[in-house]
Amino acid sequence: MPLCTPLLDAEIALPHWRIGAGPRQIAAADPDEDAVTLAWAAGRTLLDRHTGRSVTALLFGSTSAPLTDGANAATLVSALRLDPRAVLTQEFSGGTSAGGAALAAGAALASTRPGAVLVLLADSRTSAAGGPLGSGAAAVLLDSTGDLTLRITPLGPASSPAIAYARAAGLVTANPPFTRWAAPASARIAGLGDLGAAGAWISLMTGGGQADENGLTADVDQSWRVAVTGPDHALGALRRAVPARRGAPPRLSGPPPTFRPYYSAPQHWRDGDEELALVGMRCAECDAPEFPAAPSCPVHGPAAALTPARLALSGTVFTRTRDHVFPVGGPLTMAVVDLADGARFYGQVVPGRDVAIGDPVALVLRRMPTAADAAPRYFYKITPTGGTDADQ
Amino acid sequence: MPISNQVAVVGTGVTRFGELYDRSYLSLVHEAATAAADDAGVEVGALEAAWLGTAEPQLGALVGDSAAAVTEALGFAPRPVTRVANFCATGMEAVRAAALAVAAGEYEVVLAVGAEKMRDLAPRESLVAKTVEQSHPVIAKGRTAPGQFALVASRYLHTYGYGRDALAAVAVKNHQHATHNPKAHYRTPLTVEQVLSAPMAAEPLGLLDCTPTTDGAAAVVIASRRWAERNARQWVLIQGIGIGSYAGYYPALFRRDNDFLGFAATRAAAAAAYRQAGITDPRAQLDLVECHDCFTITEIVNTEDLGLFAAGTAAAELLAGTTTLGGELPVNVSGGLQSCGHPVGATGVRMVAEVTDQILGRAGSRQVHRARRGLAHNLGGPGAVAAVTILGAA
Repeated sequence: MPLCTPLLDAEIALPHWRIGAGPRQIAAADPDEDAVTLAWAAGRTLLDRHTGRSVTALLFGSTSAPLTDGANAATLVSALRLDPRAVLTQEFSGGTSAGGAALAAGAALASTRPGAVLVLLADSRTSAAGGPLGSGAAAVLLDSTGDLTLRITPLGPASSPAIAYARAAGLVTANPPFTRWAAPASARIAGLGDLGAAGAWISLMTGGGQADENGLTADVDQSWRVAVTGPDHALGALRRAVPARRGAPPRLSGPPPTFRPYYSAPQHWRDGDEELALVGMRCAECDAPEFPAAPSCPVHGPAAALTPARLALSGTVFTRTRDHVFPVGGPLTMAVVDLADGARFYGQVVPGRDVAIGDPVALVLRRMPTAADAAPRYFYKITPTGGTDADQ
Repeated sequence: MPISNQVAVVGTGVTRFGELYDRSYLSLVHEAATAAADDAGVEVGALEAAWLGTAEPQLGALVGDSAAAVTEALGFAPRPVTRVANFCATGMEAVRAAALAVAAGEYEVVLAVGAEKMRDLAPRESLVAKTVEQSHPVIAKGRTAPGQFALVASRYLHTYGYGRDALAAVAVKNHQHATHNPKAHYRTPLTVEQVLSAPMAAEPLGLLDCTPTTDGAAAVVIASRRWAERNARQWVLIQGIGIGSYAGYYPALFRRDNDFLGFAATRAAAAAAYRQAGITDPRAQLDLVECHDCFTITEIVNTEDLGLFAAGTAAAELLAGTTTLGGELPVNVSGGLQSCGHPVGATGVRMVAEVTDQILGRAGSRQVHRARRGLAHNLGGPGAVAAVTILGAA
């Protein structure tokens, strides 16, 4: 008896780079990307199509989660600008079946709870030797108003995870190595690689799975079968072409061993959520928001009525430089961006990409440099979105 | 009491600027201050109070965190001492604080000294580490000093259609000027080709578009006009001294009204100083300018912000020789920060000393002919603060 739930929409996010060619090619992430940033990318695109919809649960499945204590989902709630006080979070890990488990839990939640359930499946896996295996993410929005149906069927004891472990494909390590997973490799997707907990869903949306009278289907780690059924046009809208890219991600100079950036736990507690959500301020007298927020309006002074304002995540480049002095991850391109809402942003351009004055760009969640043994810290970087790709 | 023409600079003292590995912070304070007192013809023991400008005491192991360093360097106890800091405008802030105290009538003759010991640590362990490590964990991460001014350079070149050779012309001019300044960190002339082929720091700024990091100190003795008329050998009058501010440290690079073609704080400081000095046409009414040129682009946009040249024309005036020693309005005849270096707290005081010496006609082979009135300008942070001082012949 399959678990069934209405499905509203879904999205995938793949990193920019490809290593290798043909079926052995894999999708490779930047050095500042991880399962959280990839999940953010898929989730952001998906939620942008459904603004105003109430999300009441966020479930995150990954075998390469950067943190092990549940903070990944909490980070994603803030960075996706959801209400941390209204969204139930849960994380699934332990093996590539985490993807199926997260979907199953999401289906159960969606049937018992008002509001939409956002399931984020993401992985950025490396082999025990440190080589990339593949990176990607999927975002699935389960909501009673959806006209598609998600069916999740267990495949039975003969193909249980225990069997898969018995055929274990080797040690898989998370990146960075806060955790180590003795997990089997997930099925490879031709051209993209081993996408772990996100593999089945990305396969389903990119045509790697079957498409027949049963709709779009894919198997998760030989333990679950996921299928989406519904009207042809709605199924068709879920199909994604895989953009062809070339080139390996840049290898960045790592932080010097002595690199000890300023860190304050109270500052992180106080400001972290607003940094993740990129919240500035809006003065009632001004026609655009300002970032970072300050206790006074720069034009109208301390008596101005200020309210928090989320910044637009797209814009155009106002000025830029390529900095050879910053000693971590350099040379870095830094840019000032005129955002679509009139605010300004200044920050790093993502590794290996460049922008020119006037280029259209987007702000994306990435990892910021921290000390080698410190937990990741996330903020926004600038990525080109125009047709002409100024890759270096 | 309005400050204009009521307060005098009666003595100057500047140490050699450079990599002064053999010199301590306190010995630099001592040398500059005693030289200024000697020049003024006053005993250090007769100075009533002191202001110390040091921007980054931690670069010198916390010495300079308080103006007690002046007390130690000069045996100044128990007289009042105060340290000030205002980013790279720290030096001129010390002069301003001293001048305002005299204008208020509390003191007749006081000391303003600026000092910075930047080379006891390598830049990567001091200034760069400060920017990279001590800065906000995420906001503006990746910002460096050259990177921040490179954003202005990119915008300026893009907007007005100049090339990197216009930037290089600042370095060439100021290094040529510095061949006449025995106290400058660099005293070797440069060619445009050398500047353009130097390693890139932050596009479009190469290594020779940047000021070095430098040790040094400078001091001036500030007195009331009454004291100067009775006691001083030579003096110049402070005609105007203004400070302006903009946005804040991080916000300066984020605020919507930043055109990245100059600095609003400089425009505000200049307006205040010009109002005090009664200057309405600075290009015609000034004989020389010492302005902040931490990077080549900084001098170009500052000379526009100071109202010397119209927007977008400063580079053309520079290339035409207007700002070269012997030209219509010489800028940075000392060699500027480009060649003198930039011991942060010392720089603004050095500029005031330079303009004073020029007006007094004792600037040697870099003397500006018939200099009667000059301007000194300090810029701090990412344009967050700026200071302008107008000095005139008594």
